[in-house]
Amino acid sequence: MIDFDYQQLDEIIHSRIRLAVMSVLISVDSADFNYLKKKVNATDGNLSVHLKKLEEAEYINATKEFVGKKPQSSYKLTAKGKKAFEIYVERLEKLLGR
Amino acid sequence: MDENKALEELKFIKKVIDESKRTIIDNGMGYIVWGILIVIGLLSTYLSIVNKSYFAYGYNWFVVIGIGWLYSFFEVRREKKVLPVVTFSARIVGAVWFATGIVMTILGFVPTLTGAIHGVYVSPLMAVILGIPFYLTGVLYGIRFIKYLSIGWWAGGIIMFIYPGMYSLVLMAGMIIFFQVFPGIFLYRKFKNEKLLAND
Repeated sequence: MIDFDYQQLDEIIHSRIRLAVMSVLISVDSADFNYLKKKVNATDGNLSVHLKKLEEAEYINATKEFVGKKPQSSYKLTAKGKKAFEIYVERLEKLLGR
Repeated sequence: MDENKALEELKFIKKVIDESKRTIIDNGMGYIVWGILIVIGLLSTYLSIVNKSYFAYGYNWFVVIGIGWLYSFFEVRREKKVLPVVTFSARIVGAVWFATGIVMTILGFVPTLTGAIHGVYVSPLMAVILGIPFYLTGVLYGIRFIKYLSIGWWAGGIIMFIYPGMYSLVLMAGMIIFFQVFPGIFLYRKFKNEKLLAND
């Protein structure tokens, strides 16, 4: 078994929930909070924290609007986020010698 | 991080991507509503010819197509607000259907009104055109049977071109029920099973 240098991996993406959020957003145009919550299987509070971190890194964009009387947040991957995700996957593959 | 962990992470990414891409956000209502409207248009045209009652002949199409476009306009606006996710495949499918709708509306009215195409060739023309969006929808949603419906549309179109006649109005109505309304009901059920909406 070979030990990899995990520091080569983007630490913002290198968390199960953030990785799942990025994986969902790379495969769709946009997704709202509840859809992400269902897909990544996280609680409201937990997901909010991770989304905030991705937003701060400018990996995702949030759009807030009202649907009826309910506020709704929709998330989209930014160009920077897309690039970061691609690099993350490339490094994982490289680490595996693919 | 060891090799197993890296491999597990890659598998996880692939799984999430595959699942998200497969999300069906098409509720099938467009196929059902447009299908019923066109069947009404076809059968009312057929009956008016058979009964030689040309009172509303031709105008029925203005009514059904007008209702169809109004429905699509409001449905697209509603979906933009309520759908929790927008997939790339749904955007492409929506654009293809919109463009097809425009082409069919033009071909349904302009050539017959100007006399460029005899009315008897409208149904086969529509059938061969309809094969395109069904083929693309099937490919992009990964639903094989919808892709193969296009063969039915193209075969029906060829038959109606070779043997033109009044019967084509009824045949086309049948094709719409089997190749459009029923697949619409299938998509509706599939969409409901995804439980995407808050009240599902």
